[in-house]
Amino acid sequence: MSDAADITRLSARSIGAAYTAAAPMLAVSSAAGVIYLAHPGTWPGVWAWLALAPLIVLTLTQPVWRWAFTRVDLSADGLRVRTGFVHRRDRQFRWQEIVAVDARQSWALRLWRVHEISLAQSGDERTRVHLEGVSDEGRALVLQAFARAQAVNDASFRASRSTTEVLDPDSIIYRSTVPELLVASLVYGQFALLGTSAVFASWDLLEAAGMAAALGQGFAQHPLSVAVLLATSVMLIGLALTVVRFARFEVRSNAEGRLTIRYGVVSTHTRQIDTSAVAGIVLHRNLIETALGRVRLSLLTNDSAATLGTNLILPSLRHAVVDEILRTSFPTFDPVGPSRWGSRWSVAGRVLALVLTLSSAPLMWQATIAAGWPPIVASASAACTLTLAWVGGRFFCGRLRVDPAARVVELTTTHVVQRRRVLAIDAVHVMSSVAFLRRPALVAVAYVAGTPRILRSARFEPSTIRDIESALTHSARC
Amino acid sequence: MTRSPGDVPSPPAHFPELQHLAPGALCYLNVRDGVSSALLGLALAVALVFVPDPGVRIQLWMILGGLVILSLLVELPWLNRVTVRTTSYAVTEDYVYLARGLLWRRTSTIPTKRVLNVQIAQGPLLRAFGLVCVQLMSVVDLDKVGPLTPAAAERLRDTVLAGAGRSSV
Repeated sequence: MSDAADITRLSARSIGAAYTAAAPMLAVSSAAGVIYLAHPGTWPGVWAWLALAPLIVLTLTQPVWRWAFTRVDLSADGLRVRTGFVHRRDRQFRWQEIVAVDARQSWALRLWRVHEISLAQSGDERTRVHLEGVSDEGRALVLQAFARAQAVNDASFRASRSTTEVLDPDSIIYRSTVPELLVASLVYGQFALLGTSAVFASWDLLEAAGMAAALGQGFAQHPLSVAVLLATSVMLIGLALTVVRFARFEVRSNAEGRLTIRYGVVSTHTRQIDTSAVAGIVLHRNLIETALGRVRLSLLTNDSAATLGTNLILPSLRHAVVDEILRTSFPTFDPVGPSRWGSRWSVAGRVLALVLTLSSAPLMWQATIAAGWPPIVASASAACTLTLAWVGGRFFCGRLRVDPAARVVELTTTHVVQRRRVLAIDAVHVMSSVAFLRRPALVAVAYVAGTPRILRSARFEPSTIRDIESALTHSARC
Repeated sequence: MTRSPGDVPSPPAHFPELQHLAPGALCYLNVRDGVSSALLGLALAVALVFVPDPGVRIQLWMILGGLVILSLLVELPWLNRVTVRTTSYAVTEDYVYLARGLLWRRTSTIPTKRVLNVQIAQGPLLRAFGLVCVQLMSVVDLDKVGPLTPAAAERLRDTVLAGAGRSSV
């Protein structure tokens, strides 16, 4: 902010800092422009100024414009930032809402003794504000105010947890056995992933040792045997690596509600999750798991982005085991719905969905070839058709339900892969709906699991929208 | 100007009366769409100058002109009126409810504790009409609310920020 630190404008030295930082680029651009003028035969000649001129003008005017039309009002409560002249923006931030303050100083900023400060309310870029050209005094004020607010937040948090009783030792929710890891590896296809990688790595070693040629000769003479040998190797190595990688897989909880996931022997991985940060659960089973009567349980937490939207905590387990875990550790997320898991005969419907989806690609290919399209276009059409069939099938096979009493929302998708996402109403950030000619057509529920995510469904009871709205507004008042 | 909600899906019974856009919103939308259609049409017309065949060029210009006029005839007398009539919002310290559209009616319900920030924006055309737009910041993109009068926008912002113990800076 200004040197006097009564803080309404950015420091005027920010203009000098911006020009200093841009000096190399301006010099190069100007030199290039002069060369193109002096040698018009060099492509693109004088036409290069169509790009260079706006760039130079923008670089020279932007720092002045930013300084002239940025107002910052800093108080003990928060920060108000007003920017722009043609398009004006006005935003306010309370210090308690700021989650991070970044202060940077490049070489140019250091020469002019100003800083660049970014304040974030969340990880989303839309909730960040950047202030370029903050003086030393302004930076100190911002950091002090932020630190003061954080101290208040921490004290409140500690006060809220001070009534916690003496911790009980961790209790084990689940501990895997070797047979369970082997089954999990098979149903996930983990063996294929790990095994194939290991086989390729082994092939590299054999090539380095000069043995690849001999194996190639063997394959030419006995292709079937070698193929069976390779497939068996992939499976066995994959299973073994799964057991080693996830050995001693266990999940523990303590009285404070913190979950600890630990696995591995050679390389140990430990992950702690605060159950209060658990927004929901995901129950997931593919065709093989359905036939075996098993299901996978994952958690939706704030940092779920690290693992593609979930924290995977348990490998495939029998339904009864998962039911017991949910009942004891996550009773809030007891799945709703008329048939909790469905019978194993529902596999027939899902196999049919798989057949229909997969058959769409060759049918499209056949139709486009018959219409005289080039093979490459026909292939692209077939691929697009397959993608649309898969995505569309999954979307229209999803049904959204809500249990107002339990305050959870559940999206069940029964396609080739069956998935149930159960989300606490309190974790919902936004609920949106679309109605066509007064008939509800689409509902979307937004939540955060690492990154913003949305549950969408075109199949739901009309009362679902009203129930979610009522639950949201009721939770807002609590 | 307030109206009771009458479209499906309707807000919960305890919602306050819905608020609508500013009185000058229709005029603003008409001017905005007229100017943007004219500019877009002009840009496309200039691009069509590079069509080599004069006959095709003239035909394309005529089609372009017809499309621009048709869009204006649809937007200005009808579509913008529908937009103004069907866009509404309700805000309390606990939640915000947004609704817009006639054939495809979109609604959003956001607890105020989930609103990350409230931004008031005003471009040159809005400034000419003395109006502003309000953008609620959330984890997902939300429709802008507006055009509103500055007083209504300030009330909306103050009410949202007052939710969950927050207040204006």
